[in-house]
Parts: sequence; structure tokens; C-alpha cells
Amino acid sequence: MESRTDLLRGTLDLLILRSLTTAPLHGLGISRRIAQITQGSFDVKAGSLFPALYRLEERGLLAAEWGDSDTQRRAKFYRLTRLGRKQMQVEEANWRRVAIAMEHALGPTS
Amino acid sequence: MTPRGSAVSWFVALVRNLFGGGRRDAELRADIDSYVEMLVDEKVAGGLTPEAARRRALIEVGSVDGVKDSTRSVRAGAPLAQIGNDARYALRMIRRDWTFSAVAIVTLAIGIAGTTVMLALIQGVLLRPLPVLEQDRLIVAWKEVRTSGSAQYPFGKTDIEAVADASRLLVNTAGVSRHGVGRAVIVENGVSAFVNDALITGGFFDVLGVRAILGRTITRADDVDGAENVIVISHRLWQRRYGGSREILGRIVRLGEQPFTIVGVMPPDSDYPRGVEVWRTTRSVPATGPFGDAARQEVNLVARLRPGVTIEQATSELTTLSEQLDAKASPKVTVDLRPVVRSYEDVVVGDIRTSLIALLSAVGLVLLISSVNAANLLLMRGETRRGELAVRAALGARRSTIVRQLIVESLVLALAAGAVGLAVAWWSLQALLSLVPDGLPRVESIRIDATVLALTLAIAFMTALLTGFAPALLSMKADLVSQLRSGGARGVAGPSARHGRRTLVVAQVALAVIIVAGAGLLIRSVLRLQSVDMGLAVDHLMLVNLDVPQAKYVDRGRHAQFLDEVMSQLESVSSISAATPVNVAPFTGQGWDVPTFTAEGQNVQEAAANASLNLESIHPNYFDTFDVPVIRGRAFTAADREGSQEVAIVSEDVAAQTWPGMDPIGKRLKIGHLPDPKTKWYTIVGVAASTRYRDLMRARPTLYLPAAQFQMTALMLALRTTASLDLAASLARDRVHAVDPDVHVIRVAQFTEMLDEPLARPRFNAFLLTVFGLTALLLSTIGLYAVMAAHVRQRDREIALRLALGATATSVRSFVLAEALWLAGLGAVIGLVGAAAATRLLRGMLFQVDPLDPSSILGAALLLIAASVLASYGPVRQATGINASSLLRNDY
Repeated sequence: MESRTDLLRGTLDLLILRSLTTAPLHGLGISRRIAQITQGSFDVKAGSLFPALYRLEERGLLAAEWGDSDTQRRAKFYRLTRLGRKQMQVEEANWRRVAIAMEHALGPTS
Repeated sequence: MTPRGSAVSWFVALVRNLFGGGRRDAELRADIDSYVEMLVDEKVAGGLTPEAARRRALIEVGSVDGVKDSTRSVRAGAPLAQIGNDARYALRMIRRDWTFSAVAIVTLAIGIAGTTVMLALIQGVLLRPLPVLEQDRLIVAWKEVRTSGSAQYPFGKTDIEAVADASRLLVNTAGVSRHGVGRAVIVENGVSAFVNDALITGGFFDVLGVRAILGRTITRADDVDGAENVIVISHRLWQRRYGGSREILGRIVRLGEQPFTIVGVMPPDSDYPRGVEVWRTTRSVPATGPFGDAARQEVNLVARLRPGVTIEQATSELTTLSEQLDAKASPKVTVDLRPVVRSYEDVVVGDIRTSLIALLSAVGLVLLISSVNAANLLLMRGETRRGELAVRAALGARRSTIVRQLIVESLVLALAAGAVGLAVAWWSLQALLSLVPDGLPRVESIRIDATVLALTLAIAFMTALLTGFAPALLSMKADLVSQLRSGGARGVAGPSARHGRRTLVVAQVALAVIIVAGAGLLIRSVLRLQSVDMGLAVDHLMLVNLDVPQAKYVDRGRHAQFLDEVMSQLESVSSISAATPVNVAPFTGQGWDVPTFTAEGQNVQEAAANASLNLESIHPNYFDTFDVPVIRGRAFTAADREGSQEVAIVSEDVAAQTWPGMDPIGKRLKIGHLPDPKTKWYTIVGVAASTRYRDLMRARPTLYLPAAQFQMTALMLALRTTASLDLAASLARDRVHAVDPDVHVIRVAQFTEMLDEPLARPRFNAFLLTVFGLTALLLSTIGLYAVMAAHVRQRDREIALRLALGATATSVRSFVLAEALWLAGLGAVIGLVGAAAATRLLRGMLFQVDPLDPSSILGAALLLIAASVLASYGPVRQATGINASSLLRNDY
């Protein structure tokens, strides 16, 4: 996914934020959750996931701590910060606007 | 549409990333590892065997290194952190391969050091502003003969003031002694020594716009009748003679037998006229002394232009003004003169510019060679590291990362080399400045300053790019898969790398040929100068400097009588075969001139075409003492006295030019070229061989007049003696003392010592260029050696095969040697062409040597080829020492 544009990176960021709304998750968990909430459309691989996670963490949108997974592995669990939650809402609003606009622009599928 | 975030937390992350050591990296690693483990768990739970699950998981994740790489690259401060990382990595590589790194660093350091030294010289001499106010507005002017452009004529001191009044383009004018500095005897506490003194008019420092760093400068108030005699001293004299003591103000010293008060010290690098140690007013010279009138009256003009006025405008205004002044002058000026105006900077810096630039070009070539050499080393190491790089690339390290690391590595090398080079430069600059000839202007201004430092740094970076770029590019081009497959660890050079290396060697040899050829030319030039036929015999010749009390010998007759008595005393000594008084020290270019003369029968136009003559007032023993052959006629005798017929001797070139095909004996000439019935006719009684007494570079046409009829005050004696220097010195002291205890012998020196001064600059240039040449030779030999050694190492299997198939050691040797000769030969040929073009830069520095002198240029090429053969000796032996069977068995 390296060569995708900024738009897609924004998509991934939003998807990650979204996936964490209910509970903190580790990397693989986030990946699986995204697959679930997009009904399998997005399968985020480690090569894209980790850069995004670290970027979001450094911007203060995510926080992380180490804990034990279901399978008793040490793992880093990411959760939304207050700033992250707020930013997610802003981004969601943006996306909805874009989505509606795009739908209008492309017209009904004939 | 990337979500924005908090700047504070980004900054915190930045600080943690940069200064958190490896903690963040370790955390990332653990994070990814746990991701992989959980993926494996997931797959095991899905029914796969643990091994299959792990394999599938790793395939899915792709390269763990790659994930780490791309995650790092988005983190806060990533670019900085990466450079830090790369630098750490580079340091590790440098330590791991210490020999290689040391060679590369030393190679680069040599080039950087040389360049830094030359830049410091150029910055100090040519570029740093002179310590005067707005140097661009300062000019120096004198006059020359309009028709022949020969000889420097002075302005009159009164002209200076008249010009100042009448000029609309000059703001401020002053006068300065026309011959530059003189040698004066300074006496303090009964000890006498020489100092270089300069005569100035009161406005001199005002025109330059300089202030004293201690006390005050000489002002117009010091240059009026009845003013106290004062001097201002140079910073160098202050340091050397007075240890920089602030107590010297008000101190009284005797200079030329008069008391002078020291009133000020000038700042360092105040070096006009060049070599000056003491400034005094023209008025402080007693009118009664030898040529006192001339010293008081005849000066060059120093002036400050109004803003925006050009030298051309100033010249034309001065021409008009001085024509008006000459028309009013009395006695009437007998020569047709016009002013010559130069910028102050040109006069101070002089003709050093071309040689400094030539030397800088040479050192630039050395820098290029050392960069090429270092690039070659990196390239070779790059080849042995192919395997490593290929493995890393296969593990997912991005190509740009690898290239960046290579460049950072050469950057670290270059910075280390820069530091070493700077230290070497600093040290060698100190050494060099102690060797520097007196004639080099502005020595006090030469140092490694901030500008030079910045340039050195820039050069280090530039060499880093130069040396790192080629290897990096090649490593990018390399086909990694085939590298891995063919066992890259053995370091088999690809054809492109081998080609690159050979090109670099050829370039090195070519560049070295150019520098060595230049050095050869300068060395030959110095040898020519040293062995040039001076027209006089310099061995067993000594010079004695006298301190004659002027007040006692104001009367010239008395002075002449004193000299005669000293001469007869000295000539009565058996070990002294001849002795004569001399006016001017040899090879200084200074002395008295006859800018124009008229031979009997010449009209004004013909006379105007005559050469300018040196004037020597000599005693009868002059030609015997210097062993100058009198070709025709006779030398002067005691019978040529005041009142007898006025006689003259000319040098052979004057005779040949003025009276071609005729017997010059009995012909007559007079000084000046405008008809003036009052001047005397001199009858030629002899023709002497030409000498280079005045100027080592060329024999000058000379007019000799008998001292008895045309006396100048001789303050030197020349002795032709078989005695040792010490013996001659004590003899001279005794005999002079016996005639007059008030006259002191200041110094006795071998005549050949006088050659040191005119030879100093050429020797200095030749020395520097030889150092550069040897460095170039050494570097390119090392380069060739390294390439040949690598070449043999990498073709060992081929060589082993040849040996196994029956090739003899000799044939293998010649096959390796042929390769070396081919590279060196090609480089030498290219170098020959380059040298032929480049040595033109040296033209102004050569003496009786053609810039295309074949023995220097071809010699340089042959030297390089010979050095290459030597350099390939090791690799050749190595080639024949290859143990064929073991090598072949091991590898196949």
C-alpha cells in the first residue's frame, strides 16, 4: 500500500481510529477489526499498519500500553485518546461530506 | 485528509525518538514480533502445523526489516534520526575496516590540507581587504618616459601639494619614497642594526585612512620646518624588537645619526611600502646628506579618489596637471614624462597573483587526485561489500536506504579527513610561513580564518559527494540477485566497477603528470637562475656594509678620500686581491637610472628610442674586483679625476645598439634627450661585458661613470679575497677602524648570499609545487597499486587456470605488468596533453625555460610510468605466487 495517495492514508487513519472506538486492541486485532467493519474490503498488512499506528501515536491521537493478549502473548494495546476521539468525529464528518458529494457526482449506478 | 494531531505530543515523540537511544526501536521490534507470533497462533488455531503456520505468517507480513524501515521513516524526526543512525553505522564500518578507513582518510586529508593552505595564502594575500579605508579609492602614481615607457620618475614633493590644490578628482594626496623602503641604521644603547625605513609626507596616513594601534600616526604637523623628528614603527618591528611593550612610546632612538621619538605603532599587515619597519617624514632626511635633496623631494604620489572616480579619469587629470607643473618647473624638465597610475591594491600585492593562482590550480589537482583515490578505495570496498548489501536488500532494506548509508559513510570519512586535513594544514602553514620569502606581501595577514574554515568544510563535503557518489551509483546498478547467486562475498567485480576503477586510475596518472611537469619546469627554472652567467665572478667575493657618520662626511671630497684610504689599506693585505666601493647592493633592482641619453649626432626622435640605462658610479678597481671583462678600450684609472676629460664606460649592449658596427671608443653621449647645452658630454673610453648585477633576471644596459667625476656616496665595499668570511670580516673591521674609528662595519657577507633574495620567490614556488608534485605522484602510485592488487585478487581464478594450463610465471607476470603499463601509459599520454595546456599558467614564473620544455613534460610522464611499474611489483609477485591447485580445488 506504500504508493497509495494521501487520501488513502487518511482512509486508513480513520479506519484505525474507528476500529478502536469500542475497546483497546493490539496491532493484529486492529487489522482484523478493520476487516470486520469493512466487511472484508480492507485487509491491512503489517507494512501499512505499523507506520500508521506510530504516526497516530506520535500525534497524540492514540495511546498505547503493553498487556497480555487472549493467547497470553505480550502485546502492545492501542486505544483512542480524547484528542483521537475528537479528531475521529471531525474526520468522519469530512468523510461523510465527501462520500455524499462523490455519490452526487457519480450519479446513480445505471 | 490525514488527521492532524497535537503538536505538543509530536514534539515529545520527536525528543524521545532522537534522544531515547534504541528504546523506541526495541519497542517497535517487540510490537512487530508479537504481531507475527499472534498471526502464527491464529494460523495454528486454524489447523496448520506450527512450521507451516510460521512460514505462512512470515510470507504474509513480508519483510520484518521492511516494516521496521517504513515505520521508522514516518516517525517524528525521522530524517535526523536516520542520519544519526547512518552515522553510527558508518562509524561502525570505519572501525571494522580500520586500515581501509585510515588510508582513505589520510588520502583525502592530504588533498584537503593542501587546498586549505593555498586558500589561506590566497585569502590572506589577495582577498582579505587591506587594512586601509576603502582601498578601492586609493591610487599610487609615478611618472615614466612618454616615448619609451621606461624608468620610474618621481613626483616632486611640491607637486604633491600643487596637485592636491588643483585636482577635482583627488580628495587627498601624499607622497611616499619612490624606491620603496631603504636600509637605515638604527642605534639604540650603542648597538646598531639595520631597519627598513620608508619616507613619507605628512598626509600619508591620512590618505590611507589608518590609525595607529598604539600612540599616533605621523601627521601633517610633523612635516613642517622645525618639527621634532618622529617615527612610527610597524607591528612586526614592535613585536620583534620591543616585545610588544607599551612603554616604547616616547622612546628616543638614533636613526641615521639623528634622534627620533617613537610616537606610534601601526596595525599588523600595514605593509606599504613593502617590508617597511619604520615610517619617517621626507623632511627628516638632512638636505646635506648624500642625495638628501632627492630623498626630501622625490616621491611617488599616493592619493584618495573621490567616490566613483576611475583610474582612467584620474590618469588623464594627472597628466594635464603634471604637464602644467612641468611647464612651470625650474630648472626645466629635460625629459618628456607622463604619469602612471595604479590601484593601491596592485602596488601592495604586486605580481604574486599569478603564481598563487597557478599554485592553487596545482593543489586543486592534488585534491582531485586524492578524491579520485578515495573514491577508488570506496569502490573497491563496495565490491567486497556487495554480498552484504545484497543480503540486506534481499531482507527488504530499501535501495535508497543503502545508497544513503553509503553516502553518509563517505561523508563521515570526509569529515574525519577534513579534521585531520585542517590540523595538517594549520601545522604546515606555520612551517610554511617561517620559510616564506621576504618578497611575499601581506604575510601577517595569512591565517586560517573563518572563511577558510568554511571553505575547507565545503571542500570536505564536496569530496564526500565526489567519492561517495560513484560507488553508491554502482551499488544501485548492481544486480543483487545475481550477486547473491554468484557468491558476492568473494567480491567479484562487475565489469562496470572494474571499468570505473580503471578510468579513475588513468585520471589520477594524468593529473599527476600535469603537476609533476609543472614542478619540473619550476625546478629547471630555479636551476637555470642559480647557474645563470651573471657576467661577474661571484666566488671569493664579499660585501662589507659600512655605517659612515654623515655629519662628519658631508663633504664629498672627504668621503672619497676616506674610501681611497680604506681601499689602499685593504689592498695591501695579501689575501685581498682587489677591493672597491659600491653604491647599491646587487640584485635588488634598485639603483640610479639614466632614463634617456643622447649620443652625439642623434636627433631628439632617435634619442627618444634609446634604452634606459643603469647608472653606476665606480672606482678604478671596480671591474677587477667583480672580474668583469673590459672588452674594448680601458677601465677607469686614477687619472680620470675631477677636472680632467669627462669619461664613461658602457656595457656591450649599449655600444652595440647605439653605435652598431662602429668603434664606440671616443664617441660621446650626454644624459637627457631634450637639447640642453648645459649638460656635459661624456667620452666613451671602454666597453664592459654585460652583467646581471642589478637584476638577476636580465642583464641591463649600463652606463659607468668614474666616481671621481660623478660621485655617489658608497656605503658598501666589495672585496675579492681568498680569506674566510671570518678573517675577511676582522680584516675589514681593523682596516676601516684604522682609517677612521668613527666608521663601523655593520655586516660582512658572502656575495653569493645576495642571491638568496632574488631566488627566494622562485625557490619558494618551486618548493611548493614540488611538494604538490610528490604528493600527486605518491597518491597516484598508491592508487595504481591498490587497483592492480585488487585486479590480481579478483582474477586469481583466471590466473590459476592459466598457470594450471601451463602458463609460465613469466607470462603471467608480463600479463599483469602489461595491464599496469597500459593504464599508466594511457594516463601519461592524457597527462601530456593536459600538461601542455596547463603549463601556460606558469609562464610568468619561468626563467629561460619554455612552458613546453620537453624534458620537464616528458620527464614527468616517464616518471609516472616508472612509478607505476614499481607500484605493480607487489601485485605481479602476488600473481605468480597464486597456488593454483589449492585455489581451484577449493572453489570448484
